Amino acid sequence: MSAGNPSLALLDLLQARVQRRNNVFRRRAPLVIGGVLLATVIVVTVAAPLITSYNPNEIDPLNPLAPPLTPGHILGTDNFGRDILSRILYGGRIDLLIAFGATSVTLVVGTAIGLFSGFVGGWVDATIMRIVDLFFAFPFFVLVIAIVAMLGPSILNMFIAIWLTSWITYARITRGHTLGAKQQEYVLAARALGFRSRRVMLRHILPNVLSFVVIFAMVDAVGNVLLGAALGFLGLGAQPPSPEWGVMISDGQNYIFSAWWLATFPGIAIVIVGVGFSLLGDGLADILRAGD
Amino acid sequence: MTDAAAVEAAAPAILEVEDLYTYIATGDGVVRAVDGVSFTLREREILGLVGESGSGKSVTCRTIAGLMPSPPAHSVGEVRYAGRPGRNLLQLRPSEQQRLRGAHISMIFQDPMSALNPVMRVGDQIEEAVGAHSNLGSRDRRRRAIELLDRVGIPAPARRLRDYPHEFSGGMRQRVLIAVAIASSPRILLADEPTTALDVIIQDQILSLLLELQRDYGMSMVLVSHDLGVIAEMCDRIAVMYGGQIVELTDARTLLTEPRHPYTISLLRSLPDAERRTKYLQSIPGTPPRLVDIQPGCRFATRCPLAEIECRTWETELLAVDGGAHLVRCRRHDDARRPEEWRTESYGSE
Amino acid sequence: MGRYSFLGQRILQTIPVLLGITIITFFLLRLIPGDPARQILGQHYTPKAGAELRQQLGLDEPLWDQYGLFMRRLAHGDLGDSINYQQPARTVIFQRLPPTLFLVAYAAILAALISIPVGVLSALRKDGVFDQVARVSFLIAFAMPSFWLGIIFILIFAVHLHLFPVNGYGDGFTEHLRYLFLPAFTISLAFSTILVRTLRASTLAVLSTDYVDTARIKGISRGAVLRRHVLRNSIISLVVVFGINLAFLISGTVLIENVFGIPGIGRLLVDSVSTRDYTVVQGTTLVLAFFVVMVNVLTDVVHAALDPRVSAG
Repeated sequence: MSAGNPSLALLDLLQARVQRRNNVFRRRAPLVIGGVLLATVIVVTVAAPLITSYNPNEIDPLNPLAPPLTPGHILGTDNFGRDILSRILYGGRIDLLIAFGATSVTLVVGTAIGLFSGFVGGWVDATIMRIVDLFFAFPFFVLVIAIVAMLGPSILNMFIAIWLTSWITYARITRGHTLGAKQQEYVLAARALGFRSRRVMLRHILPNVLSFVVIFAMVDAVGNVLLGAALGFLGLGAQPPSPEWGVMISDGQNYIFSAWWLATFPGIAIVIVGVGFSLLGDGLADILRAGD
Repeated sequence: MTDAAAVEAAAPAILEVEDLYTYIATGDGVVRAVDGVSFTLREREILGLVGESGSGKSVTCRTIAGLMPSPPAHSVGEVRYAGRPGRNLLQLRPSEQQRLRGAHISMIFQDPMSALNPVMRVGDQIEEAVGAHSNLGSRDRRRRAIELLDRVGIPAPARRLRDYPHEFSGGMRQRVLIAVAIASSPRILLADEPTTALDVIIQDQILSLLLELQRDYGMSMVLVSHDLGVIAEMCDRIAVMYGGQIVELTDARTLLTEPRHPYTISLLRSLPDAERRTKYLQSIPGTPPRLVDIQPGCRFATRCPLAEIECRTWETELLAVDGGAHLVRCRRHDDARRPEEWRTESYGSE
Repeated sequence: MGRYSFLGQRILQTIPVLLGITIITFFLLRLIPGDPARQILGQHYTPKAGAELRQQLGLDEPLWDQYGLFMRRLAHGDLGDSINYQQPARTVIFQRLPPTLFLVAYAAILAALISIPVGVLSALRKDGVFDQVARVSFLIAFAMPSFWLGIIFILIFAVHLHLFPVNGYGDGFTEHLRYLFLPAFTISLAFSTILVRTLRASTLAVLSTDYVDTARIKGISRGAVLRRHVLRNSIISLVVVFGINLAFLISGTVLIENVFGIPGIGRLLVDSVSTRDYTVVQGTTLVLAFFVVMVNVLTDVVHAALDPRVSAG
């Protein structure tokens, strides 16, 4: 048996490649970048008064449509002379509120319903799933608009509309996982040992299911930010003169020919938040998979 | 089993594999799936590759056929084919590879359900194979497809052309797969566990079919299996693989009656005496080595009843025994022949 | 089971769904706080008109009777009257249907044209430069609000480069193609993010199957392997995903029609909200929901056509 050399060279080459891939930084990059992005956004929006001295609704009739890099207005001003940067920072509070507020409630409610439905089974489960399927048949966005239309356009009604419709995905996911987990050995064993149902449900099934739910929640958060902005844009959510980003884009649409910055910067802000959530979700998914 | 004597009368080699290595880069490290394999396949011979899963037998075949996915897997070594003198099959251009596949070298896979395109009619799949190396018009291709289906024992072949794979039973599907593989009359057939996914009764039928076809078409075959019973029945020579390497290689009769490697002996001992055809029990304690971190020395040492301290550091190589017709990768192969050496209680090194 | 009974079964399955849609849509109007008649009539409200409308809609009847009334009218194609347009809602809605259908179809085709090459290539050269660039690009694109992207495109392509008209629908087929390109393209980008991911995953799965190896070992060309075996199987996942994510296309349409001033259903819906034209809002919701259900049946049929295992039960 000769020729140890080519095979050793190949071995070294491949081992180096594997090591490079497994580099800690590369692996955790999405998680870190996403986390940093989101954290930054949260910090600057919360600390808005410290960063900018302007009030977001402060009108300056002497300085309308100032372009970016005008002294004192790094992102320019809009048609009312309001400072764009300030509006974006304060508006961020609203959009982040939408992201967290909409997502967290639907997450909790949907997960609870799904867990319950999957665990109890029987006709209760069947009925709940029927309702879920029904909502799924509707184009989601249209339904939200219709509900807001009926209740009257406002941020609160927008939240209500989202809460009424978004829980179904969480319910479906958790119910699916609950059904699967019910069959698992450890649950059967726990029940055989006489643990009370609720305890079994919470202690054993929940952690398992929760990881999937959290990852989906990241995707959902992106969706809710876009949804909130879309409704603000259409005048169905936040209303002018709110500095919500969708409203800002709508305001800016009228000035697209002369003052591109009105509509552009709020959009970039939305993208940053969206990318932050997406990367965070990807990073969490990687951790989950590595833990398997 | 073909006429062993005729085979041994120095039939020319049709395939020569020399120092074949296939390493695969994975998230867990580099998998040394094939770690220095050499053997010769002679014309009209059936060579068996037997070993546990993970021993490298499948990857060896796929490497020869050029089917290992190239970013994660990389191979070095030489594979020489009599039909392409002077060329290393591992270094063929895609166009050359294409000419070789089907008409010279072909392969059948373990699970016929996943080895046939589920959304394509069976007839089309066979005709595709026929058309790859011939200029037949569609009517002739169709006729040839019917002939092939008939040849592999599928009743009402003309009607069955229009069926999809999921409309066939497991055994029938494997026959279809065989029809596809021999459509262009290859000289070498690599059969990767062709009967593992089938019922015992069907296994017999498929093996008989393969034997028939091998005789009629004059093919050389490499038969891969973890079932020693199957191998024993079909093969002229047998190579036993462990941990990515060949640990014993000789003609079938010698291997079954006078094995020299402790692993082979353990395998044979674990076969129930009565029925040769039943799968052997996994009664060798311990597990095969992970091909990712390979320890130096003999890879079987941790499970070997005959292992000594020196075995752990011995740089293994295939030793020739009985004038070269029998190769063993064991430094204690002489002792292995003596029953006293085998302490039935203790497995594992001292 | 046979292809036809599969189709029949599938259509039968939609009936409870359609029924459920009518129920939800019916309840929409009941969400209105306060006196619905007053809200619906808005400026045109007089006590007499209000009483008439209440009788017409059966608003004082028990709920079950109201629903029956609603369904009976629905069966006759009566979706109520538009306060704003002073016409039957049905007329207004169906007038606006063609531009939306054109836009959705256009966007779907563009999305397929983008996603198929990108998805397949990403899978073939997994983790290569193209794959990584594509993944990053789509990650960012996924976070872009479609209405914002539409405005940016108008800015770049219509205003500065004068390649496309700024808004509107145009007359005649070729003009439609030109006017609707930017809007359709904008919608298709968002849709493509999902399609590319799906296609990449399914192509990777197909590439590792034994039947692709069987195809290769026949000695056919790489192109033939790709077309007849890889693509033929991985495309199926696209069809499935398409139906599920149709909602994406619809929401895109609603927004984009507003940005680009296209006289379609999406724009009608939003306009009707601001004018408090509740019957039109209800009617539009109903029509769009029905549309989604129908398209889902269609995708199921296409799926069954592509994959013979489906209708086999």
